Amino acid sequence: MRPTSRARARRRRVLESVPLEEIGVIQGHRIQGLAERALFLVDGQLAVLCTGLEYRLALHLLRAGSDHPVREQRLRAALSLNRRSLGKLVTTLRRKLFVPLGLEIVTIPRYGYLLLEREERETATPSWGSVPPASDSEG
Amino acid sequence: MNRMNGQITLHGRRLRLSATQARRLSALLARPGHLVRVTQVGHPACPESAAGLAKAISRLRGVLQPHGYDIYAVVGRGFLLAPLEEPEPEPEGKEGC
Repeated sequence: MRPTSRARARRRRVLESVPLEEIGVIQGHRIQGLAERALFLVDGQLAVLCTGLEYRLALHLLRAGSDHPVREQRLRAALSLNRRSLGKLVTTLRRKLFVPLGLEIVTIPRYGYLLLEREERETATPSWGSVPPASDSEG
Repeated sequence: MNRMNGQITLHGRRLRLSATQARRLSALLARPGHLVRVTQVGHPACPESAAGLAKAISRLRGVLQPHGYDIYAVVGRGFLLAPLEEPEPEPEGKEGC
């Protein structure tokens, strides 16, 4: 059911009174945040509730931007988490925030995490599991 | 790392690279610390198999790692060039979730 114009105006007034922080425009979606409630607002309409840690992790990734990976060590230090906890947090955040937005948190083995737009995978990129150990010979 | 006269030097020492390796490394050096797509690292006129590219990148890693750099794979997307980071001990017992 579509909201009436009166309901839309009321919602706009409520939102204007809340001190939302502009995070940026990602995949054509305007993202705003409310740190004290650990809440993201997408396009001024869809609210995504997070825990405090999820919110902070999402901010790190969103501010780094697409194509710019964030070191795992940096995230662990910023959030005071061990590797396992950070991995769990990323998994939760993937489902909660980024899947509806068409964004992926990609794990880069031995490095960290990268926020990327969802797309068809290119065919020729190996996983490191399939990469032979470094050799000195020239190809 | 510097690119001068078609040669790539690291800490003032010239890296011994084949033409193909130099071209791959140049593509990665154009955006250090950022994702570089597979299509940019591979040869545009001669698409490689995943295994072939993996082997080539592995050789390049072998050249770079002794100098403190590594090439990281972003599965299904591409690669990034970044300095190696010293392993860090796990924090004890801290669970934040």
